[in-house]
Amino acid sequence: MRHCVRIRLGMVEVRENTLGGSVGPVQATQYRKATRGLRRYIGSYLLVAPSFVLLCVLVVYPLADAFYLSFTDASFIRPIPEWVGVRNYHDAVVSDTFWKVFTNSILWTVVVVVCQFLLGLATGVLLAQKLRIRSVMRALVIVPWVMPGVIAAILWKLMYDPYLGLVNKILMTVHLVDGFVAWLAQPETSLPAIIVAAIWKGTPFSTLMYLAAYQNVPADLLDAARIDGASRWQRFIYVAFPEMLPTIRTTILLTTIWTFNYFDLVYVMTRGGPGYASHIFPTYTYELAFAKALQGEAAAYGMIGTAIMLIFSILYIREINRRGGLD
Amino acid sequence: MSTWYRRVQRAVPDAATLVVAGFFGLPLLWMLSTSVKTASEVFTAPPTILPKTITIVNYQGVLNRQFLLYLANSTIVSLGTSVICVGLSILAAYGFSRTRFPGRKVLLVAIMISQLLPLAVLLIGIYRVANALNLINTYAGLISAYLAFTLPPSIWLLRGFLTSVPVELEEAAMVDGASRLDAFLRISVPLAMPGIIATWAYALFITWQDFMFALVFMTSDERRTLPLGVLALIGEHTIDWGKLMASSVLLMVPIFVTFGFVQRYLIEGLTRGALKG
Repeated sequence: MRHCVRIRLGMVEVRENTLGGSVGPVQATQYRKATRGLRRYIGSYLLVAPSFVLLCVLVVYPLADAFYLSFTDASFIRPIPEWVGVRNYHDAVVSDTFWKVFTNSILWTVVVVVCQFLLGLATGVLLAQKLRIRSVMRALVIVPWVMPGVIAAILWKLMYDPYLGLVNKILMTVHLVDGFVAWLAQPETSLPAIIVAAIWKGTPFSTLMYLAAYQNVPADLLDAARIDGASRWQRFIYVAFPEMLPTIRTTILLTTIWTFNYFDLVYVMTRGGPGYASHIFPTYTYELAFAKALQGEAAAYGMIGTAIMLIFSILYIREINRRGGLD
Repeated sequence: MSTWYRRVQRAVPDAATLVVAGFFGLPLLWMLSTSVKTASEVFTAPPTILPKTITIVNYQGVLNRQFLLYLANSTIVSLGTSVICVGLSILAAYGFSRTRFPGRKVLLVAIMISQLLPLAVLLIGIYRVANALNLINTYAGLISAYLAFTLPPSIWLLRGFLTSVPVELEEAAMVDGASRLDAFLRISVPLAMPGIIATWAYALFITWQDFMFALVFMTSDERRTLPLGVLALIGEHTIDWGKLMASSVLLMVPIFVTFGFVQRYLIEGLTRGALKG
């Protein structure tokens, strides 16, 4: 051990000596090797460069700009923003509106993601079975996913119309409601109503993911479990589910990020209303920035939303990296 | 186990199928049905699920010059964005998939993060950039803005497809005297063509349905894209639901036609990302 240390110390001394004088022969070859290495990759850098430059202008700079704006009083009437420190953040955190938007966002994201997971898993496994109308069902499930968010929002706005909508008609037929409920105009029901629409629109993605994952479960594993006397339910819980777990983790992380950032449904169905009853971070940021033209405040809300999502983004990237997706 | 129990057990998948079909299918069926109803039937409470009389008057009312203008705008912007996006993605994805250059992992992580950012935040910054460059209310401005959020997922998708084309095939072609570019264009590009088409369609879908950016960028009526045009049909006090549903159906037609062609590759590309990383 001591011997080893002495040798290392000796090497350091040698290196220091050469650094003091001219470049030693060892370093010169190392340098040449390094540049030759980089030159070998110059083609790759050139290929990546156009996208890289464009994304710097379109993503990195705008994000940095929004970060800077969040510390200013930028607004429509103040084209040259003035530095105000953390005032926007402070004002946000002490306001009721912020906490309404915050709890709405959490509620919206958690309920939508959990329901998409459960319903997606159930339908994914269902569509893997030998059903009579399987191909029809698969095509049908894809439609809400491919449908533009605006169209889904308009359709569900009509579904929830108190007099003309299908929701009240169905609920009245089965006697769950006994009047014309204005789902989107009441503070207590507007967000839950949009949540149902979001589950309808977003579940198909999870369904397709879980369908693919379920079909990837090795058949001999399931057969072996059946021979050992495991019931259908046991085979799913102890054999198929663990095999599907990596896909489930990725899909949940992705849907969390997408749902938290989703704008179209809330904006078209209620514009965050009535009052602030259904506002979430993306819609409120948008309203502050472009309807009220208070870019500074909007940027502060946007940055808080980004910070929350960064946690999930990092988890997602770690998940991808762990499976070698970045190699 | 009684036969009763077994009979119930056998009926479960069928019952579940019915519930799922109802939940996902009924709104869609109703959308189509509303688009062919007469105005008086649309505005009758309680609503009917199937139309009593079928009319195409809503479609006729929607298909006017203005609609065609919006359609042209949407086509220009979506095709422009998706073609540029795929071009740039092919270059970048090739760079990422064929060499392990220093800094590669950092760039990939940056690309991942940028596709996960809230668009409302980016919009504030991008709007200011476009405003400074006088690109508001221009096709070029909106196309550039769309590249901000189509390029990262496209590079990611295409990298996956290109990685699955074995590099040995290119090397074999180069041994036979082909240049690197030749080998790439003649060997890898045709083999990755399904992936390239899927990526193009993905970028097309995203831009075709966006309205948040279009709402902010396209300030004049003659530059509006289709989603904005459809939204504009929602009046302050009255909404003509029949027309609205008819234009919604029309807006979806190009998507479904394209999706029908690329479905297999697109789903394969997206699920492979989740299954294998």
